[in-house]
Amino acid sequence: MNSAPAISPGLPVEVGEIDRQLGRLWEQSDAGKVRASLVNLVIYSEAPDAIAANTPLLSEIASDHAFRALLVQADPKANQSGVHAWITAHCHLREAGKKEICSEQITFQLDGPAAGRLPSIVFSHLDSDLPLYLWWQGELHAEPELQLWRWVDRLIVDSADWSRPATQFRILREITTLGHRRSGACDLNWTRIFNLRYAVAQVFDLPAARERLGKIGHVVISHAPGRSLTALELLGWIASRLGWKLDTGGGQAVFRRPDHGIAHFEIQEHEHSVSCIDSVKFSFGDAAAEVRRERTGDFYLLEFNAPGGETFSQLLPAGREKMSDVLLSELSRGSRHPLFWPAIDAIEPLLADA
Amino acid sequence: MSDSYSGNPLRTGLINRPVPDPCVVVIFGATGDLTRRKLIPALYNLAADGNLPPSLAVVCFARREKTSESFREELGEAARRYSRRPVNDELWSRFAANIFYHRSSFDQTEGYASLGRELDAIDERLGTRGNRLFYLASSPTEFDIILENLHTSGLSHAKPGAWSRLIVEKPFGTDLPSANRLNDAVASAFPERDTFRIDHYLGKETAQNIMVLRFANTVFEALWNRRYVDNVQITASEPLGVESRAGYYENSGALRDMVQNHLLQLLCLTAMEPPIDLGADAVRNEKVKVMQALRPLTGKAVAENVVRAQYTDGFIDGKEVPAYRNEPGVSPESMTETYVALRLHIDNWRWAGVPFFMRVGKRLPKSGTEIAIQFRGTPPVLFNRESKLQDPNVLVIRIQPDEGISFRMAAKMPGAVLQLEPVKMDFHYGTSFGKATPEAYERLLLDAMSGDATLFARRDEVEQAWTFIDGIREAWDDGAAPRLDFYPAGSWGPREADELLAQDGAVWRRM
Repeated sequence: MNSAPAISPGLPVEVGEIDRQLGRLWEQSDAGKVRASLVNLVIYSEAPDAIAANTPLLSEIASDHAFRALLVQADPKANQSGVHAWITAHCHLREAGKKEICSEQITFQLDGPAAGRLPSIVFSHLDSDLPLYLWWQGELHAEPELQLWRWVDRLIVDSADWSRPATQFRILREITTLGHRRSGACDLNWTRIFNLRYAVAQVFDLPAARERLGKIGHVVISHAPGRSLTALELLGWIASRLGWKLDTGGGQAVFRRPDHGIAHFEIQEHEHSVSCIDSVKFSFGDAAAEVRRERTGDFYLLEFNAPGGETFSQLLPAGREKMSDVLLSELSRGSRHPLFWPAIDAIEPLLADA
Repeated sequence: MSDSYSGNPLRTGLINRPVPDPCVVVIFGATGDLTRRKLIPALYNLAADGNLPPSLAVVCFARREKTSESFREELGEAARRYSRRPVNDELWSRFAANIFYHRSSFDQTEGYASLGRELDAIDERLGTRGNRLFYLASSPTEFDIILENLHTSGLSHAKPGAWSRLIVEKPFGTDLPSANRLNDAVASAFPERDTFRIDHYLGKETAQNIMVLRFANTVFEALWNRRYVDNVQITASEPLGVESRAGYYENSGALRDMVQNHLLQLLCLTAMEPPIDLGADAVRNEKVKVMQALRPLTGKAVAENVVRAQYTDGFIDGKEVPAYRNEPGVSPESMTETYVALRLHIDNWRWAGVPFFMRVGKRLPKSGTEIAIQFRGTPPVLFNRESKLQDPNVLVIRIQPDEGISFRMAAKMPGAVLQLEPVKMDFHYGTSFGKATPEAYERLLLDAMSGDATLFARRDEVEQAWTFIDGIREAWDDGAAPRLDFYPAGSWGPREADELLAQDGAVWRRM
């Protein structure tokens, strides 16, 4: 693929001239701009529109989280080998009277055999000493890029994009064992449900709800089309935190609670959902709890109803679901996600490759 | 750690901080500015961030004739004006539905009895579980009677399985005897572990970052001692005059208003030893040790180490401003200091011989609070052989505004001639972290609800600070210290303050 990207990623440069041209860019910029960076953010994608899709996204992220971005659009199947590069900066004025804060973006288009040179391209253009976050968009390769993974501090993926989640989670688990001691895997699908998990936890801070936590008999999760894996990750989190074990032996899959009781679950797709997960409902026999995304706002409505008129309701922030917001949320949290793999383990038999 | 957090397995691993318990916040003196400008916007922002417990109510205790409905409207306007984030109508209406106005004078015992009944009803209705956070936002002259009535009405006593805490706003007294009286009054109603004395400087991100800078980085702490530090300068300057606070300021002055609390707290964070852990008492123990090692300033020592001054007329940003004595509400013969500069010594192993200079003033050219660590110069060899012109390294921690850290070092000017120039490495919070910084009151209210007193002043800290300040005040009152000096508004203070540093071969850092 040799055609120029639809959205200009900036000034075309020779690969060997990138540092010099970036230096020149800053020399020529006015005094009202300042370069900043907290992280090396490498985005790798094999989608043909990756540059057009990610350049505006990077611009949005730059307003809140300064970076040096290396955006790599690769086409390993292209007949001709080629490397093309562009440089640009995303500048934002955060406060009147202050300097504009600028984040650099270096864009690469790697075609054919050149796509295999990813580590070399990445290592040559990192901002030294800053952490390296690699956002691998789409399916992970079965053959891990050992040279690269060992230096990655955080590998970001989005399982919502995966067509073969069982295989992909297995590869992801292998890759994370290859990294250095600080590296970790971050699934944006997991980040997406952070506020929802927080809201669910908040419901069970109520004494009346907490005393029923071990007696949940039924969980219903409603999700938007294409978000069944997001719903499953939420279910996996609930199950792993409550010590439930999946039982697929009796025809319909259920969870066995530590008290040997059964927790049924339903994952429902709703065509007109307002967010990736619309609601989570819990039934305890004599009481019910629900966390529901408000149709009009950016909040979750938490409700609990028990016999004798005991009720509770609260609004909690739901967070936005735009990709830039999800990524920013991940970048600003800096977590190792210790609850992630136990959640995946809890629902692993339910993961099916398409 | 709160009960909610530890008992709920779904909470584990979600966030790295305690979750506050459901509670009722009772604000005494709720019709004042503090509630409108700071407390309600802070609580609303906590709600918008999802940081409040499942059940929270606010009871506003004040004398004026109002209803809950009318007061909610007033507070809604205030929240829209002062909140750091736009107010969402739906969230506000839910939040405001749990704000209640309780009309009573502070000395009316029946007012407290009815408050108790109201709190019990709220517990029943909202599930706030008997947890109470009493906030003294009234005039300090009312503290005694409020505390006495909280005690006699039984409201200060925690119910079984619940807690009852007190937040006290500064000033914590006006001198040591009054601070002791206040602390005794507090102690008669609330145990020290449930007492939270607010110094909002400690809630600022940059103040909290002082410990991180020192103890989470290898390079700084190794140099943080008498072998490498020449002097430390702590500055709090503001271009504003006395504004509408003449009544308070005439009795307070800069020493009591700023040095006794904010600046001494910054000094402690800068000079303290590493605490054994990050628990409230471990941190505060170390701060108290700094206070104890502070060389007392009394009698003649005050004349030698303290400069006090008052602004005369001058110009701020090119605009003419009156002298302090001509400000509304100020006596024409006022001897109140609007500026004070001090040379302090901390007589311990780490800091022996290192002067800590402190200055605070009104009508200075720029607004800013910062701590500057001035390192010793290099030996007089190599680049420093010919002249002593080389600027020594300076590490500056900017508390406000433009929060951040900068480091000045020497670099060679490009060219054939060997010429050294100072260059600056600069870290700006706002540049690196685009996220809006929470207001200090948000953090402090959350900590008080969670029972974490690390960022609040302990009784012995306050009393040590007053002991130190009273020595200076007594010397001023006895005439043992020299006259009041004067400085034109818009200048960096009196000449005498420059001379104070010159005695140690130092100069004030230009901000």
